[in-house]
Amino acid sequence: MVGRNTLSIAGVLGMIAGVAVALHFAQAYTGPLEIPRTIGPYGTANFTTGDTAYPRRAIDAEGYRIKISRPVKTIGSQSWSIDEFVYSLVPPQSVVAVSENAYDRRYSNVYEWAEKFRPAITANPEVVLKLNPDLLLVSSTGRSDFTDLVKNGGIPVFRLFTAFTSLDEVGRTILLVGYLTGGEVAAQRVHEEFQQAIQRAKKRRPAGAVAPRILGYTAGYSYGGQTLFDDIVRAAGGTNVGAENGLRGYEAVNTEQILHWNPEWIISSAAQGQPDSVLRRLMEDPAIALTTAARKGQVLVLENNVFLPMSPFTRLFLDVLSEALYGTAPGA
Amino acid sequence: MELPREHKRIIFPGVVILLLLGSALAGITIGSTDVALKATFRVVGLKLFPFWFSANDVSRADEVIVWLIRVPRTIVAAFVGAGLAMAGALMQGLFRNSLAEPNVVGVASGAVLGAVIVFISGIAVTSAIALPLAAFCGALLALMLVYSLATRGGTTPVSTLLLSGIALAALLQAISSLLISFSIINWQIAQEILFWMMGGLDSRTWTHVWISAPFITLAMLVSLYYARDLDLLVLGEEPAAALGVEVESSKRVIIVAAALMTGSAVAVAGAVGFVGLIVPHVVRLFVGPGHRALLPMSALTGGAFLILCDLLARTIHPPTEIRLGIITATFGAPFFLFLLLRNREVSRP
Amino acid sequence: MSSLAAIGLGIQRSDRWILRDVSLELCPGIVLAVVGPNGSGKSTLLRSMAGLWRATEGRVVLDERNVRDLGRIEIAKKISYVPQEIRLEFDFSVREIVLMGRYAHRGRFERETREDLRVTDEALVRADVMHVADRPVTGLSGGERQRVLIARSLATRAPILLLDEPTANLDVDHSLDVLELCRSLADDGHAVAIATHDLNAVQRFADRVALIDAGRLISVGTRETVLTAGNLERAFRVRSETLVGSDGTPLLLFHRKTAGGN
Repeated sequence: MVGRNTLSIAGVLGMIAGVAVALHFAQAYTGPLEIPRTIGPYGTANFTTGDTAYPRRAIDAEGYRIKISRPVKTIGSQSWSIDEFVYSLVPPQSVVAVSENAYDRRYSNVYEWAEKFRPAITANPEVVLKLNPDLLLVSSTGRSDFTDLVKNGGIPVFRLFTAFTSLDEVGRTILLVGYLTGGEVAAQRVHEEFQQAIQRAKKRRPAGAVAPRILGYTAGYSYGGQTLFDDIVRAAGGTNVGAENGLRGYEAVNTEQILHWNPEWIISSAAQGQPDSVLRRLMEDPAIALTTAARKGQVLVLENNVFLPMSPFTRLFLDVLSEALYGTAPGA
Repeated sequence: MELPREHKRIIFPGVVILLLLGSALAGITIGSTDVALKATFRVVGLKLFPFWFSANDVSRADEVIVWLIRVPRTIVAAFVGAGLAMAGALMQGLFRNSLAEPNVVGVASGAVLGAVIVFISGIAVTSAIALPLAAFCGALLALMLVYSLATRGGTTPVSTLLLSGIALAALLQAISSLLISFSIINWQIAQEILFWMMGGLDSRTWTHVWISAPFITLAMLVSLYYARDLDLLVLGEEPAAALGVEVESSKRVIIVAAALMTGSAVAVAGAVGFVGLIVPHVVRLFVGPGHRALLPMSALTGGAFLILCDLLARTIHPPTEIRLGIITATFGAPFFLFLLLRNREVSRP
Repeated sequence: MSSLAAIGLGIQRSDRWILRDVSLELCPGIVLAVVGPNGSGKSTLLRSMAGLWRATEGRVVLDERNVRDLGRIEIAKKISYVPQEIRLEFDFSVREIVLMGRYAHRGRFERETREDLRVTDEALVRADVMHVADRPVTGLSGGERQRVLIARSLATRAPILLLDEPTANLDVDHSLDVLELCRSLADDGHAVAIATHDLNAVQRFADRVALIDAGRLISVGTRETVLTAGNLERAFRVRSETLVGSDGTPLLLFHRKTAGGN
């Protein structure tokens, strides 16, 4: 009983399907229509040859092959950990763009350089395109549409694997960034310092001592297996209470669980100037107050720029941690 | 001076078209960095009329900035604004209630949920079309649900409509946020949620144009086909049927069209609210409630409106971009309250 | 000349019979009044005869064809149903609303023709709303709105008119206007059916009367045969008395039923 003037619903749905199919197949001509993809965990970036002659080649964490024909003069960094890598390895005036965190006193280990040389902030693709750096380093979590856009503008983009779960990966990345940016000499040095910090930490633990049971706890989350924290704790000769209890990656925990696990050490972090108040708040929690860590005064609140880095600055954490666990090393 | 409606009908479209072109121009020439006006025109000219312009005149950076960042963003803004505005007009006709629009009624939240499901599950990567289609399905289900909840015996009391819409929107938003928080690592959650819930046009590319514009255009054409029916439906379903309207069939198509517009818009811009409320109301003041004028004028005005809102979002507080949904809500929420208060008085006979 | 008839019509909704076994015929030139207490099914009857409600039992026949088999547009060209009220959410002008009556005659994208505009103007004049033609309908009084609806009905040029309680909200003078209009339309050859409460109006303007109570057709025929004291008492549970007006029109006066005598 449908009148001559009406479109049937089937007709309309058919048209929609038709447009969808047409667009789908149109991709054969325009190339795949890409939409921002969530970047999942994926393999480590690598360099195909350690040869320091130009052109230098490497494969990034998305499998993209980069060829660097000349020494890189201007560098952009898209995340706060990469900021710390580049400032450690290249002359600071070469860094023309950084993440907004570089300017954030509460987190940044490169704050002073940023303030002094005032690089641009990489959040905006237009800005990056105008700056035209010789190389842009992006992190595992950088949006793919951003990198696609910048690549389209002719700027070489290299996606580093930055979701580190081991100190080894950090070390390798130091060398990789050095290779890419022409700072391989500095990279060798920084890498050496990094390894030494690890060795120092490993040797600190007195022979025969029981591995201290350590829990990392910030903002309601703890660090389980497959985290950099886990690797750091092991390097310092301790046991990661989070991993011990089956946590993987960063997972939420509540204070009752913490009491149940009863760690000997609790490590937390706070913004610059905040450690005391954060410590007080932790100790006020009734569950935490009953842990061995609290009773023995072994709750440690470190500043963010010591606790959080996943970069060459991680060695700060290693030093501070082993210092806290075992006291000042003899002769240090 | 009270202009007769006929004059408004002629002057208004002219003004709106100028406004749309003007705002499109502003959208292309204003951005976070300075690109000279001449350079901008050269880039656009090069792309549209390649035989007249030489590629040597434009720098690579300018070309990318204008053609790959600003132009697609402006086009997406125009289509999203047009789609949401017309969807609002359709819903106001469908529910016979001038307070209806995609966000208030919970339909935008349905679209968000559909998009989020496809995005998180990874299906979106298989084909870019999956995103707007899923958003469309979400919007459609939400709209059908609200319609059945809120409409009794051919009438839609304001209170029932608003309450059903709010409840549904809250539920769907919660589910969307939950799904997002399960699947993405902590520091990305906030970013994703912000995008979907508060809308945004940052980093829109030509892909977004291709996955939204065709669907929105199709839905708009279908709606225009039903403009006259809507006029009749608005005065009551039974009287409309008595005059010859195939009521059930028309309603179904209008629902599908409104959902398609909303879904496609949300798929590329997140939930941007109040456009579908403000624009049809303002347009009605000038061209009257007849849908044959209201629908196309709402689309054009909506496009201009959203381009301007996006411009505002980009330029109020550089270099940060304010979320688009916040800008539209700043205009829309007070407007909504004003309408609500006025509605209260009118409903007394 | 079109005729409309309900044959053994039954309407059931959620297990309740709203109408049962109603047979009624509408012929050109006749004003049929459908009367009965509230909830008796008058409205439903008109709606079903307009093809708006689907019959559970029996059928409605328009010019020898079952309305179930006809498209809405075909029905709309022959039957015009005037509801009691319209929703006033948006401020269409009176002329725009009356013009809507031409829907069935136009293709989807055709603009209104000169013919449409002429018919509209005629309808506006006939229903006496030409003087408010360009005002928004939301600003009109109840009586004017009712006349606008009738004008819209007239614009459809349908030969059969079904009016649902057209005088319910009107002042006496407007009531008279509407009823006189119905009378004159019938005299012009339309078939007119009115559902109404106003039994005295029925006395003056209706040719035939159908009395409905609890979904059943109690009686149909002339005023005298239908509006008997016995029928009225059964349907409305009141005692009635017939007086005669100065022009010879019978008038009904109602009293409470008391248990015994006057």
